[in-house]
Amino acid sequence: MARRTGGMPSLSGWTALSLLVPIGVALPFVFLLAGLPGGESDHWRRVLSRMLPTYIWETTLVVGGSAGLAAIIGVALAWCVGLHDFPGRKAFEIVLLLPLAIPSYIAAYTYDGLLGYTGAFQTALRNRLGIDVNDYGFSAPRLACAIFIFAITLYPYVYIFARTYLRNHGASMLESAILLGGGRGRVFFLVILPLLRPSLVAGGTLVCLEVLNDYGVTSHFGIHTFTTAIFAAWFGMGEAGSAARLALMLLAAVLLVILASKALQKAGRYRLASGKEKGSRPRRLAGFAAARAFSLCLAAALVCFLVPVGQMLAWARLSWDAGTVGSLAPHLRQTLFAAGAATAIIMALSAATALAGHARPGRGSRLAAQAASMGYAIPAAVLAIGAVMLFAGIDRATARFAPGFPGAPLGMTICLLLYAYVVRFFSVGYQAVEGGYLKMGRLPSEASRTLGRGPVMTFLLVELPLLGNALIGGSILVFVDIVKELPLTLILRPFNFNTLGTRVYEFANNEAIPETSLPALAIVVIGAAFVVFMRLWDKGGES
Amino acid sequence: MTPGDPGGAFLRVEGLSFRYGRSAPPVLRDFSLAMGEGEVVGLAGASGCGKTTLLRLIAGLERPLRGTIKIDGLIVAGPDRFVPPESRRVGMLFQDYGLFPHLTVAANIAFGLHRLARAERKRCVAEMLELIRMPELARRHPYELSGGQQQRVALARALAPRPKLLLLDEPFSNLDAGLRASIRGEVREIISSSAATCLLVSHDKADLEAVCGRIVAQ
Repeated sequence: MARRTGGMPSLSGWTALSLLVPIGVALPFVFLLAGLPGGESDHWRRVLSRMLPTYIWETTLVVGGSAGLAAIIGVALAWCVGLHDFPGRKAFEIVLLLPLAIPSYIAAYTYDGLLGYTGAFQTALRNRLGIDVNDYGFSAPRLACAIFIFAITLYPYVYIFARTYLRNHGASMLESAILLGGGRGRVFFLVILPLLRPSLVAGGTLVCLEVLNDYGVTSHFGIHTFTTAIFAAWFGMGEAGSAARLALMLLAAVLLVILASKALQKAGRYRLASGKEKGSRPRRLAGFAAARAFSLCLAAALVCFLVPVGQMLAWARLSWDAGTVGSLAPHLRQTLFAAGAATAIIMALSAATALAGHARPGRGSRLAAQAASMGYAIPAAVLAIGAVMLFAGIDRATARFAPGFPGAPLGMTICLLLYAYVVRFFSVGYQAVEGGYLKMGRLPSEASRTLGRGPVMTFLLVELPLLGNALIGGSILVFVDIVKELPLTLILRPFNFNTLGTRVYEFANNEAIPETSLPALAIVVIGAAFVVFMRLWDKGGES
Repeated sequence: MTPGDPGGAFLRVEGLSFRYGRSAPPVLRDFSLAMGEGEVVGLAGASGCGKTTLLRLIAGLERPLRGTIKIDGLIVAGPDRFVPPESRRVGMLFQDYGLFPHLTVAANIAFGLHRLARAERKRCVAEMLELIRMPELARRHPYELSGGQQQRVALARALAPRPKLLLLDEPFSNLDAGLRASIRGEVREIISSSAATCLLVSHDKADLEAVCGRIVAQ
């Protein structure tokens, strides 16, 4: 019965299993690096001399501006809702999360349609007040537009972290700080803001990564970021070499963001003396103060969720009357199929990787899990190019060594897209599973092992049933992320394959913005249902 | 007296050292212990001195840094040998019980009996329920039980597969004082009627004196 497993580390099945995803994540980069052309093309020389400074400048501005504005909105709302109690607070807690359901590109199209020349806003100005904005030579600066859109759709990343923190610790800190003699404003800047730094850094990092990943918003407003540059080089010019080089630069930018985030987290490291403080309640507001808090939250809810959704609903009625709703069905089916298949693969891999890590704990499996989770940080444009090169390599190999292999060429099939989804969203599912393990603790697994069950049976009989909720939560998270996804799908989808997201993009690209409303609403409804579900589910878990 | 060990010890721990993580201070340093078959030994020591770690090492939940552990003449942990916990036939009563929340009392007790035939398994579970005097609670789930009941179920679950060695980690620390005295008596009876070899650790000497035949201070 006894196995010799001590001493030298051996390449067991567990190790192989825990390496599966990291290798899958790493392969596109190997091919990206290997596929770099030796010489410089004219196009690349032109990019280097003329465009590169613009790419760097505009990427920096839009990333920094969006993160900054999202942080301000997120902290202000968290401060409002997390530390105070006023009529409507409970409803706002959920409503302020709902912008998560609106992908940035959809918000961009909607606001552009709403505020554009033919939109409801300018039409009303002209017809009711006789004001034509064009007479004043006014046009919104495109960078500011993009930053605004990113901030109103991505602030929930900051808001969630900050609100949770303030809810758990803020009230008592605030009380003691005020008792020690400080005005509320002083206390905010001297106590609360420094304490919120981890939440700000964590949320801000996510915002930066999302903006670096984006194609829909930046291309719509004509901003020269690395991602739009990669798209232009790849599709517009057919310059694969330049696209690969730009992809590596974008990857460097991502690394920079992650390193900066790590450094910021480390520099201000502190730990709370105790866990969740009890006894302090959020401060009850009344009268003018309550009205002020209420109107701030209402304004945010209007700008970030209610107005765009209202506009979409108004357009949807037009599309509905035009009878185009039937054409949506195949795209909905294809979206659900792709997202469902990728989610199933991701959750199976997450469970397997977690099982392998727990069966053979150690530094190796932790590193493997970290490497596998890097996929989420990789911008879609980079991953897409790497994946295309990888699949081209596979197809070349099959053509040479196994001609006539069924299913080839693989690069033309949905497999390419599913593979990219798995690489990008694996960490979302995996983190949910690991969170489940953390909540479960080691005790049930250890009890099972001492009762004579091996790792696999322990996983099937004890861990899997106890992880049930985490697996469901993770699946929903992954599924919704994939339904919202745009840039990967845009590049890697097979011929004649459309998701709701790509359909929205195509309509917007053809200047048919009102037509985007039906597929966009479908995405928002799926996302919003999930936000509400998660919120209620979280509540159930707390009690 | 087991044939595998000339010293006659059923459990022999020699020169055991352990630390959590490369840079952490050692929890155990050069620890040795010997126990005869059928003995019920108590190990006393202040909290944080490595008692739980010792049990985890014996059960196979941790790998020792140095030293050997021999059970019934078989090396289960040594310089080039590590037997995983599921193959050691060592039962453990965890401080927090570790009952499976998704399984009934009966299913919890039957969990370690997978090598038995169905009928035999049923008989064994019934026996165990009888032993802890809870036959009417077989279909309950752990969260429907009191602390004392949970502990008895955990004890029955650990004893059911007839382990060579039963380890009890602070078995009474989660019970309030009133319950403690009566449960101590019950545990002593259950253990003695099962004739298991037991190692019990506690920071409370009174616990050990109530249950154990021999007490070792760490």
